[in-house]
Amino acid sequence: MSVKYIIVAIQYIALRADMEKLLYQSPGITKYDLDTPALMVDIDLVDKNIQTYHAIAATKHVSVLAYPSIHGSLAITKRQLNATNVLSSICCNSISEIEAFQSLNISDVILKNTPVTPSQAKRLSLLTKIINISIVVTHQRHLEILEESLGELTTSVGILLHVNCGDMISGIQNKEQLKSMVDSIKNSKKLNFIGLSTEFSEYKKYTGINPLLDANATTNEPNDIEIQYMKLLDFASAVPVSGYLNIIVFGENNINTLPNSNIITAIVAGCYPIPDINALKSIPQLIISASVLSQIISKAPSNYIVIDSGHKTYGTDLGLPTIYRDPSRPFTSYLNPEKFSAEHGCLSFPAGNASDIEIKSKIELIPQSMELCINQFDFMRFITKGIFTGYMPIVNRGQFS
Amino acid sequence: MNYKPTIGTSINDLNTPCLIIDLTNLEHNMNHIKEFYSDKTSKLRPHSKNHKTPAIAHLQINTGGTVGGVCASKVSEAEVMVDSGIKSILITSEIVDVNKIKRMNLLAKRSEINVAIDDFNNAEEISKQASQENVNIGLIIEIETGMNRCGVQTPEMALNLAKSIMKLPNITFKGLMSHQTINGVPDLEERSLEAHKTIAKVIESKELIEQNNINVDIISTGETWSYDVAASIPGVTEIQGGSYLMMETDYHYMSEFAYSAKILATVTETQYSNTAILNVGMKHISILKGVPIIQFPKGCEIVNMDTISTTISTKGIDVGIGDQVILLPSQQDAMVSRWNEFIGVRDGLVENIWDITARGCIS
Repeated sequence: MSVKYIIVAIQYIALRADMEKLLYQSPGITKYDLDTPALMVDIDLVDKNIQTYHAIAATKHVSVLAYPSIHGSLAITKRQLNATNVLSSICCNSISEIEAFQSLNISDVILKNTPVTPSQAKRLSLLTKIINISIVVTHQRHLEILEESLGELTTSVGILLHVNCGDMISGIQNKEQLKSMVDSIKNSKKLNFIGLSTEFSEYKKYTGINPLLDANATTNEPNDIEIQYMKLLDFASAVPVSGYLNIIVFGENNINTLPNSNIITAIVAGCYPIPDINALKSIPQLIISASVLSQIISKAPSNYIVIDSGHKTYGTDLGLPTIYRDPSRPFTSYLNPEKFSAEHGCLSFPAGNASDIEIKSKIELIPQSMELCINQFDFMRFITKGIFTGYMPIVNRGQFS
Repeated sequence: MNYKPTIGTSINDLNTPCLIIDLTNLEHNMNHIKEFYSDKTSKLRPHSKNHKTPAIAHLQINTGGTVGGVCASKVSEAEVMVDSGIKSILITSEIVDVNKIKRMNLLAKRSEINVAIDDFNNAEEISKQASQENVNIGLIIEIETGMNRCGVQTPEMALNLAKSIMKLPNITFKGLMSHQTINGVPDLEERSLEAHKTIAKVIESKELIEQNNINVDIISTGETWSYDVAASIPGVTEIQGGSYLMMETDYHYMSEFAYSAKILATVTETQYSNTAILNVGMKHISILKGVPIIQFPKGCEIVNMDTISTTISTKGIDVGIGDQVILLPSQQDAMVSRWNEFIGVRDGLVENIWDITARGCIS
């Protein structure tokens, strides 16, 4: 398995000679011998999380739609697609991401963000010649742009209309707007209405208060999934088409509170194979399968130690990482994240507790947001039973447009 | 192959979100540094962590006002800079891992390598490894001057460490370095006072070490906010500056520098009156020092951000789906590391594309 990963990584490097200078370390070393900071992924635990999450989804009568935009890994996407209770398509955030994931040979992709400029729509149009793309649309104007830009396309593009059930920020606001857009699609030869999408918010309700001010709060606030679900049912009942309606739902951390449903086709999910702090808090059945290995580089200050990883490693915009309390490393039990700068992190400890902390010691931290952390790296380091087994490129890193 | 625009593309036709760099403003900032340091004994050592792009590092050096080399925050970043032909590197983080020390020593065969240090055991390890490789590494003792991070705490500790270093082979005590920060919106007088106050400990350390007949060749300190005032402090030989090049809203009071690195985004949705949604979020731009400022269209403000989208208040300004929006970052180095390339623009057209070669180089 590891040899395959290494070959993939080397091929990827050859294709993208301008990327991270991969400082090759031989598979077979222990994870603590990796150069730091290193994004480590235990592939066995990834498989367990996939099994767990898909099983929970099955109890809710929904499938999983793999969302590799979150983790960026071909290997993890394959594992998601090979699991039970999963759709055969994937969801991507951008056209560049669809291009990056093409090597998976997936025939159907859902594009979350509608291209709204002619040049992006043209790229999309060209891609539809080799792959079936469905697009999440939130506005009548999007339909017009797509209609204009798809030009002489002979096949039709699937449209999922995104309805606003709770976040109060994005999406179709009411049933009249929805009906009007469905009618527009019916009148188009290039667009094909295939269903609805929505996002179940974890916040109670968008109040206009900037959530950034509370960026370090956990996302385990009580939500109103039931209310959002009822809104979704109301929207679905208003769709002027007969037959089966595809409905996909974003907001994967809500899986435990999702009502048992016969109308939701799939939940769009990508973080659960390598859960971050937010996911681990919302879905306690998941286990830690990914962490960032960091090294203590200074203990010059009297009340904290300094590690070699900061904002540029974790993407701490949604909160500081959490220290993995490793029973075999007692000092990890009392270190706490204190402050992080671009390149460094400061971990505090109670007075008098520093004697067993040594410069060069390595510790693992779990990012608050895996999506933001992943984009800081070019490679994951796969780990099996504590041994480094190979590199895996993060193929969508920086693929934003 | 990544999507990249062709040279000559109009900025209006760029696929977004993308990281653009205004070449006119970039050159203005580099020229300002050249002129400012033209009659100073100290010079700028540009920090490559800010742009992670060797092509830009060479531009900074070639324009002038610099020591002829750069700072790098990590060994992997230094490797990219040395590979591009830069001959003098100061690694501003302590390098304690044996494997990284070995990598650093290999760089010393191709470039002058100086590295920050605050611990004697670390000096011993560097010396041991450098001896095996038959190279010499310059050690710069870091003095803690207000960041509450790395660095020895007192001049006496610096002296003791310098003395210890002098006894070890294949390493050379070169000097001292420090970092400082400043809050708020300081004026010139406040910046000068703060710089003198914090750097005083470094100068005190230098004098103490020199009184013990040990040469202190390098005093590397300062930041963009003190590029001018720190340069006037006797004994300071080089200023570590990075943010000046691309600028960030956190430094808006440094009006002599122009914003050059910006995010170009597009309005994707306008469901609510007086609001619009952009196709850019925290995955693309850091909010660690505050949310970005919208440079264009003027008058819009950010009210909410998630990882891939941003809601702005348009307050009656005519903004429609497909319109472009320009955002200025609050902290540009934490933004640049999220991207693969800069798209260089001048007079509304793409003039060049620089790969951010050291992106992902965080080890």
